Amino acid sequence: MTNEALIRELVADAQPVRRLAPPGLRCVGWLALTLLLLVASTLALGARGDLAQRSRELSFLLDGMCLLLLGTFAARSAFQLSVPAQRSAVTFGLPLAGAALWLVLLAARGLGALEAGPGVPCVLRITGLGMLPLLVGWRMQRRAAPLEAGWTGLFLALAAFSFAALATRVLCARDGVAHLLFWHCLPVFVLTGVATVAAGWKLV
Amino acid sequence: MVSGEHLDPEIERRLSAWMQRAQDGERAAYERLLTELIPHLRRFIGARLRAGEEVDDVVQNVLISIHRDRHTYDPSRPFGAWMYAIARHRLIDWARRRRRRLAREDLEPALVEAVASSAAFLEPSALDTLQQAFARLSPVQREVIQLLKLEGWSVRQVSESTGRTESAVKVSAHRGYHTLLKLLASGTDDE
Repeated sequence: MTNEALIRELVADAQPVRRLAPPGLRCVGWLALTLLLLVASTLALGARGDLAQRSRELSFLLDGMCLLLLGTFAARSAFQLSVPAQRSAVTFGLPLAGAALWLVLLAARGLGALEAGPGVPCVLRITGLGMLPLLVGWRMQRRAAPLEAGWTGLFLALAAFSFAALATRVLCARDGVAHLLFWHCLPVFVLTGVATVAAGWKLV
Repeated sequence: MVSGEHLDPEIERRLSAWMQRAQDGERAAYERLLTELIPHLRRFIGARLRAGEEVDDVVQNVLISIHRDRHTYDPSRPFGAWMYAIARHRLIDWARRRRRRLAREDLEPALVEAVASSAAFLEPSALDTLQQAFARLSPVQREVIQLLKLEGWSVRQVSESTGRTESAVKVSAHRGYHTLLKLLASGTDDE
């Protein structure tokens, strides 16, 4: 087919299109919806009994703040990558730095007695709470044009499961570093890996 | 910014305006836009490809992507950056496909050799067996293999004669060899 013939075909097919909102705006929408969903889920499931006391402790606040930043950075990157030419110098660096900071903050507290304790309910919570925001985000990305589908899927999944881990911190009464590393951190990264393969493949 | 990824500000403004009108459904503006994009895309892609004859294939892929993703263009941002980001990724896709194709082509002589040396080919009734197997190929595979291996045409000649792309000709031939090999093997087993 010649270029001219292709242009004729494309022009004949050209209908008015609804412009996609800027990635920043779409990201804010997704963040608002996700936080709303997680607050509602947390209230429905019942927060840990000592939340008021723990929320005055620096380590608990830092942990929560770190997850909030990680989720926000990852979501921002996912939405930036969903549109051509919107990525910036920190698109890849910020979420990866956020993930590293979370790990470093936890590890800096020392592993203690290496007592991870039972954690399957935490894994189930992170999986369940992260799934809906992930699906909503995935639908939003499908409407865009992610050129780097793998990275877009990775950051979206990282954002969804980081927020789910944040909600799980409010639900789970265990604060041991080994428990957090094994039953909160590890599931976030494993689920992100699995969802990246699935979402990235489907976004292409 | 890599050379060839920069548009003159005047051209940038013009293309952006046409794209905005195209997003609103104005076909004349869209046609002008796509027509004007071709030389820019040819220059950008041609500078990055050694295989000159495939430049237009990639240009057409970029045009199709621009068409499909035109709703993602934000008029408040530079049009050139948006267009070249799409072009760069289509080039990367093309390079990946080319790598896979080259890997397949490396197999082709071995496949032809395998067909020729299969047990059925060594039997006294080899010609009949081969003709029967050949008749069971799809019409496209039969035509392509006949022109390539019996008439001795080049891939380009077959492409021009049949109106298929060179890649499509190679894929048809490759699949045909595989099918022949399977048919000859099963024919031998049957006997």
